[in-house]
Amino acid sequence: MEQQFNEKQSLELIARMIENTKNNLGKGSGNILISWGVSTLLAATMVGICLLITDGDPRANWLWFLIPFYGLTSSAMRKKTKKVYTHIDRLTKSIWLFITPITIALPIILVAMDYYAAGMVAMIPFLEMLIISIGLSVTGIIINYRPLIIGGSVAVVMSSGCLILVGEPYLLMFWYGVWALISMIIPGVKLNNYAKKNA
Amino acid sequence: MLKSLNPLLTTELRLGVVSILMSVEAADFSYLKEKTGATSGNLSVQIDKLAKAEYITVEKSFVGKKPRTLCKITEKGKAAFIEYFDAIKSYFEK
Repeated sequence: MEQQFNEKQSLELIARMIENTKNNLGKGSGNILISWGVSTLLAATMVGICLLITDGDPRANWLWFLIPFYGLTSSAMRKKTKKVYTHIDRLTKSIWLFITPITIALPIILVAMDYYAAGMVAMIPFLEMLIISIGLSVTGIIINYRPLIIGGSVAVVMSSGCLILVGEPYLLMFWYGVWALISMIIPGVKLNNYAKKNA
Repeated sequence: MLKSLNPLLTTELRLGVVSILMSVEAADFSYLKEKTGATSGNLSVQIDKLAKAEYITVEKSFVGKKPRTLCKITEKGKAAFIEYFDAIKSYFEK
């Protein structure tokens, strides 16, 4: 025989269940930031090393495409093991579904445009960093997580450094590494600790 | 006059499952089990009843070798929950 609920018990149960799902930062929530951050850091290091070995051959920059390759693969694998999808997940997913293709297509478009208007290629690091940083800040605002809002905002400011570092490829790679650390890796580690504490 | 309560939602577990699914996009079986504290067998039976009433959709798949059951609330389920909630409210407003 199923236990029937009265109206008071029903109301209490609804409140309790909704409260249960409210703070849904499951363990490992920051892993996605860490994996994208680490892949950016590694790509910057690899590009820097390749530039050094090849005496500045610009083709070394194709190695940047390892970031979306690695990031998208690991994101797809993570998706399959997720226990719950919140409305916030859907919102952040929509943002990154919009941003990711832009960041992949933008360097290709600018390289092509460089044939017609020289100097376009120099804009790639700045625009990429700016777009991703804005995405990170907005994500931080949506999930209401202060370290990501701060990291993303600092990253937006840092993107202007790319304009200063045009013509300094090694410093630029170093700048990208620091940017990945501040905007993704540190907030990701903090988010994991926070989720662990609140689990 | 007091509204009657939907009998499908007056049991603890079914109401719990629908309440959770109202506040998320989708949840898998283990998440619902963890949040409701129900046994696998009982939860499975109640999920089937909700699915038969078309209050939720159940998507079964495999992640590697592990089976995965993903539940989502339907528009009909949302409407039933809202109606149920309004009915409860009417008891308190009396």
